[in-house]
Amino acid sequence: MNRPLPLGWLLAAVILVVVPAALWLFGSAYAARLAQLVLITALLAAALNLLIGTAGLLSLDTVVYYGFGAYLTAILSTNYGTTLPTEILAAAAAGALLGGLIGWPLVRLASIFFAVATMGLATIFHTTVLNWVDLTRGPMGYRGIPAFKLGEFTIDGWAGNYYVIAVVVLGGVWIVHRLTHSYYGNAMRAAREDEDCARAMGLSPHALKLQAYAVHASLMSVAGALYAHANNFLSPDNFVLLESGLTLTAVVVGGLGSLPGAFIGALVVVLVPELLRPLGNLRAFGFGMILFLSILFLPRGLWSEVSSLAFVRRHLFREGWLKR
Amino acid sequence: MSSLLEIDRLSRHFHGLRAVDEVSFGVNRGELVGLIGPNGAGKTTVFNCIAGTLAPTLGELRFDGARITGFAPERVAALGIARTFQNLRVFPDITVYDNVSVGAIGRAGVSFAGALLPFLERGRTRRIADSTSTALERFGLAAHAGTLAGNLSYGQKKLLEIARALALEPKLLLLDEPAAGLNGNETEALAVLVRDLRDAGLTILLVEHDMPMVMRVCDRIVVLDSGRLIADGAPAQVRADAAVRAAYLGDDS
Ligand SMILES: Nc1ncnc2c1ncn2[C@@H]1O[C@H](COP(=O)(O)OP(=O)(O)OP(=O)(O)O)[C@@H](O)[C@H]1O
Ligand SMILES: [Mg+2]
Repeated sequence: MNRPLPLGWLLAAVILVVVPAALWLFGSAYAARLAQLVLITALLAAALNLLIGTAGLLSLDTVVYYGFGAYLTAILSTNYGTTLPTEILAAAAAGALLGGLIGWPLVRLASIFFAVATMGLATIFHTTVLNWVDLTRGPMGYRGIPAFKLGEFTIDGWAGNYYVIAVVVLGGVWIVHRLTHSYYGNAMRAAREDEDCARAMGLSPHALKLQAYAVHASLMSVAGALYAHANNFLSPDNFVLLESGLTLTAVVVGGLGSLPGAFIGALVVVLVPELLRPLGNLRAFGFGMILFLSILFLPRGLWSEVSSLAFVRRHLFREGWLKR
Repeated sequence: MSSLLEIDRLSRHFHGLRAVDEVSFGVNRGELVGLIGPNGAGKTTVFNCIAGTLAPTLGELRFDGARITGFAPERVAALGIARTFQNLRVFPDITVYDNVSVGAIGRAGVSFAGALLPFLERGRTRRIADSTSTALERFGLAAHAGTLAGNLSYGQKKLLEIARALALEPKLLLLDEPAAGLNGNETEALAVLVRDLRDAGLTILLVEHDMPMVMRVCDRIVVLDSGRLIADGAPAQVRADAAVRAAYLGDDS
């Protein structure tokens, strides 16, 4: 009964075997770097999807928690020589705590007001990082962040980095998967659809939304921890509102509320701009055009919530998780 | 017979409008009580006060012997009061199965930890699955389990709302105009169903404009007019009441 999904195995196999093999055979340092970025973006998109797709909270504060986790890790590893497990736990716990505190008043706001408030958070965060020079080194950026450390080992080389990132990202995505493909997910979707009616059914939408918000903050903070090491360098410019917009784009292009969509969306927003490099100055134009047209013609994204839920559940029913 | 629900001088005002004005009545265990009255009489407002959607301006509500005045809706639901809405409130973008499961989830509860580590909540999960399936089958919705609720016919949506409320396994069911918009056959089937629920021991408070149905299924009828209670008695008694005929039923019924 407790077998993981075949779909999950497929995803794990692609990420842990197929992609590294392809990188090893044909890849370059550049390709490996892109692969890492796709994975980190997929975790961001999965976390944001939990919030926007499942809980229905349109949020633009990705960079707040992503940046928080990144700077936290940069500071910890540079000053205290922390190792990977400590950093991941610290980022997860501090992210959840920060998300819980900010989320408490925030998730009471309705739709558009919530969105505007999160935009404000993103701006506050960027300004803080830019100006709190003692802590963040300000506009100069945080240079020389050490590589991942596991116990006594320092992980260098693309393969080690890739595997660390892959395992952590898969873990994070598994958490989102469990939360969305369970009765807990049904409760969140009900709160999203009609808050008053959900309350009449005995659910507490505020608690559900707050939990979704804290989990999303925690996972994004973990993604930030990965990014800090993978990139060795952080700049306030990595954490501007536009970056939140890019994660939002990944979620919408992939399909709101759909977990496979998070991966597809991450692939699109990371790889398409790279593929468009030959366009030179027209690159941003081409990318914008693709996004614009894909939303016009595929408003439910490449893989919609409905079909993704139906797809995943065929396995859940077979395993007896859910009963018809 | 003991009262399951007691409404004691309940009032709800909207900016000076007395939508509900010192209304008192009780609903006994196992009883099917009709709440009728002309448009704007205050029936839905009474429901909203019981269910916690609106706070009463004055008065007291007791359920199962305990005071529930001004409780939040989720707390009232957890105590065992389920409702349907006059204007359909299904969750349109999730499936029929998921809609009904929400009621069962409200009863059994779900937790964050349980979602991550399912073995912690195997019993709960089974209970949710069982009451969901039972409710789906009882209302002939099992065949549509995978359909998005928004795609159901109007009549099916009305049934879905009742199924969802029943999945909460309530002690008291509040039905707000379940027959509105249904055709003759559907209304007939609904009347049978409501009566069956009552015969199975459920306590029901029914707001309905379809008089033949109300007269036929209810054990007792309470009549509101302009926020005030004007009659409370057996169907035959209420039908013969002069004040009720003048306010609502008209002289031809
Ligand atoms: N939220 C509200 N704000 C202001 N006035 C309200 C509100 N809800 C109800 N009212 C008013 O209170 C009165 C009673 O309304 P209510 O909906 O309870 O009537 P009802 O008996 O359910 O009528 P119907 O048979 O048409 O459903 C009406 O005059 C209505 O306009
Ligand atoms: Mg009404």
